[in-house]
Amino acid sequence: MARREMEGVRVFEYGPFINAAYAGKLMADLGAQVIKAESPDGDDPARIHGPFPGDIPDLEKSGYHLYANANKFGVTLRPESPTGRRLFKALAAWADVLIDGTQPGELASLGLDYDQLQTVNPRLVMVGISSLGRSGPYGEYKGYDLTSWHASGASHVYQGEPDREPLWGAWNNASHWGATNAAVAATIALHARELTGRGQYVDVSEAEALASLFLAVEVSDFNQSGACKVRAGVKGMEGHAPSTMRQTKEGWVFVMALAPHQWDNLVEVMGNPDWATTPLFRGTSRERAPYAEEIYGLMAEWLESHTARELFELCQARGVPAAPVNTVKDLYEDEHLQARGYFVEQDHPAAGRLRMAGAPFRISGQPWRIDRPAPLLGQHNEEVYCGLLGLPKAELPDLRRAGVI
Amino acid sequence: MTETSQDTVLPFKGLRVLNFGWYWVCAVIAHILADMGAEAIKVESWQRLEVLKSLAPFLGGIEEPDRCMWAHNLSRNNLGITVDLRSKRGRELILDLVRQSDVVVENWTPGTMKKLGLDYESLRRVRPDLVMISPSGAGQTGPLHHISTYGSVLGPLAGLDGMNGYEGERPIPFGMALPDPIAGVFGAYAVLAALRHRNETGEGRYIDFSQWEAMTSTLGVPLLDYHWNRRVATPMGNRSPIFVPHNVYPCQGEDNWLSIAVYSEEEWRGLCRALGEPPWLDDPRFADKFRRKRHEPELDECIAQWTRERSHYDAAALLQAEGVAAFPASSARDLYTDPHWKARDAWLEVEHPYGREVIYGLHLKFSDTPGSVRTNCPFIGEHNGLVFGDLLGVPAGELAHLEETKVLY
Repeated sequence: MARREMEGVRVFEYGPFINAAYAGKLMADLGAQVIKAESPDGDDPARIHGPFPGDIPDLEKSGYHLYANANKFGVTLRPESPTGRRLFKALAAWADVLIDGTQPGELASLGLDYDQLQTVNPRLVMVGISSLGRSGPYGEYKGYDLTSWHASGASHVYQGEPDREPLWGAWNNASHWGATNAAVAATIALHARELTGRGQYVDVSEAEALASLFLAVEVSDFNQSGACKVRAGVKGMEGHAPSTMRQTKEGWVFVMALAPHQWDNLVEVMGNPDWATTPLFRGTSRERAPYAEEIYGLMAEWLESHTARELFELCQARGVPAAPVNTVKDLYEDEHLQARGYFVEQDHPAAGRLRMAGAPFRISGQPWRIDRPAPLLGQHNEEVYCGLLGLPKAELPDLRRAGVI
Repeated sequence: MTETSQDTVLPFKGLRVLNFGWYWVCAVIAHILADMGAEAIKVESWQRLEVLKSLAPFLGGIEEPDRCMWAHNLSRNNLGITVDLRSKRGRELILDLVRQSDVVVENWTPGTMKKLGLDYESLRRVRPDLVMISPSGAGQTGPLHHISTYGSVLGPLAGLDGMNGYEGERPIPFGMALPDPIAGVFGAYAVLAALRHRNETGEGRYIDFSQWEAMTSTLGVPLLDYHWNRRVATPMGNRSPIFVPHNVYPCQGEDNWLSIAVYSEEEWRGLCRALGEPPWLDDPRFADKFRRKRHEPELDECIAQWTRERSHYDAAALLQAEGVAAFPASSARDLYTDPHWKARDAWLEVEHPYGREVIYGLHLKFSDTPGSVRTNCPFIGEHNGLVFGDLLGVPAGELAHLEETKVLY
């Protein structure tokens, strides 16, 4: 079988819920060998959150766990005891990369911070994902997806109605974001290790990475002009028209025309109504912005006489950027995604047949695939602790009894 | 510009990245490599400037493409060249440049690079181990490969925006193109992984990058909910199924909000302490997590009574002192003035020929090889002489002729 991009990389992943897990997934899906260590109690929120088949809670069938932890080996580990710490260090000694998704200070309080781990493995790359980062005045602050998202500015500036509360990035957007950045960080640090011969620590703040890459221009603007943009709700991207989400005969549609020719084409697609050809509305999307509400009001009749899908096709046929507001049902059934073989099917010993979202990108020369389903709790304890780390099999029962694994 | 001390390794020094990209995604991919030392070259043309450079804000408030602060943030550490890819000589020069490059990034409409004779098959003939990535809305194949999209259009298409909104209400679009920076980071990871493979095997790679698919892959869990239960995810505001409380609360001042997320019983007790153990905590409706979830609106109102009397930063500090995850919903002002982000050099004050300005810093903090912001976003075509003259050896006379005849323009 063709060699995959991250083959040969050993990853030790530790941390609850999604951020470390999704970072590990991105590497596992490209061929890295990923060992996920989790609490022997099975109380990782990824196993508790759901959704579950038939809505029946079962820690082996939670959606977050099954989606984020496929392609990995799973062990249980409680690093609070001296034996647990010894196993943790043995895994860190084995690994090229340790992805840490625990709260700031948590591993340090167990004597398992980077300085300690470096003594057992100087080539270890350790990537810590946290809400606000692990240095600075709030370097000890606790955070979850919700607080990362709001801290980044994404909500206050871009998400929600201006006279109501800012909104959360649904389905743990900030964690996925932090995870993707962590995969970038790990891969860069592995490149750097080729040159320096040593590992390093990378501090990934979900909020800072999002503030930098998503919000920076607003900070540039504030610094220059004192402007402090506030979310514009259904008006979408403020300062441009049309750029809005509207109700149709069936479903919602998003229509946008930034470049002048896109507006001209949209007017044609609408059948050249008199109102649209008035000179007032010509020009750039920014020149039209003051008339946004009038324009949307005038577009309503046309929008409401077509389904979102029809509007998508009509607009796209003339190069006007528009899209239906797809639901998960629409995506699940989408012909384009199916034609590209986006969804992957897999059998899980507890949850049965799964049909899941597939590769986030296609690299030539190797098929993206899922080789193994998400591990059952402690499924690979013997394989990893005895097979990989050389622990005598006779020790496993004691470790279980002591609650270490 | 930050100084790079001589003993700091720039991991991608010597790597050359050609960025033909429009707008946001490709610029993120290019600058993540460039921040780590790669030489990124932004390829553009006055014949058709990218829309990005017409977007406000502009440095000094004057609407000129070279003052666009979007570009100033995104194209730091890039060289800038101009070339008309429709001209034969222009394409020849680009092939010469590709021969000496490691990575090509482009997001023209699928098929455009092929029409120009600059698709992966053509480019690998001159550079067999080339890594190339082509982000597009829907990928290079499939019935919708041709669609025109912006990041703001991809959010709705990929399922993100349909879940954004107040609980039980209509979907609301994002005010900015979130799928673009997300795709940029996914794309950077794809390129980094492909470079790793190249270094190990000597083989190049082509990456067909559908922004839609990358975005949808972050929604793998609600898709499983549909697979199992035929449930269609709808907007849920600030609520989570397993956290309570989990919301934003109004604070002193105008439009100031504090986010609070509580998962464990231990955190709940921390919240109670931070709030000074008010009598309503004894209310049986809040006795355990299950009951708190059932009475979440009433609980939220009780917490809001406490937050309304405090500043969002003070309230966050009080809660954090008791081990509760809490932080303000930051405005642009908060982001710029917060000492935390200052201490982490999240924002860099840089000297641009048109004035001082603030751009973002190195968004990932590497302990050993931090990377650096070494140069400003280039003026359009600023480095034609350096790249075509010094690097490719085009004689000065021809260079002037090519600029005059708008081949390098």
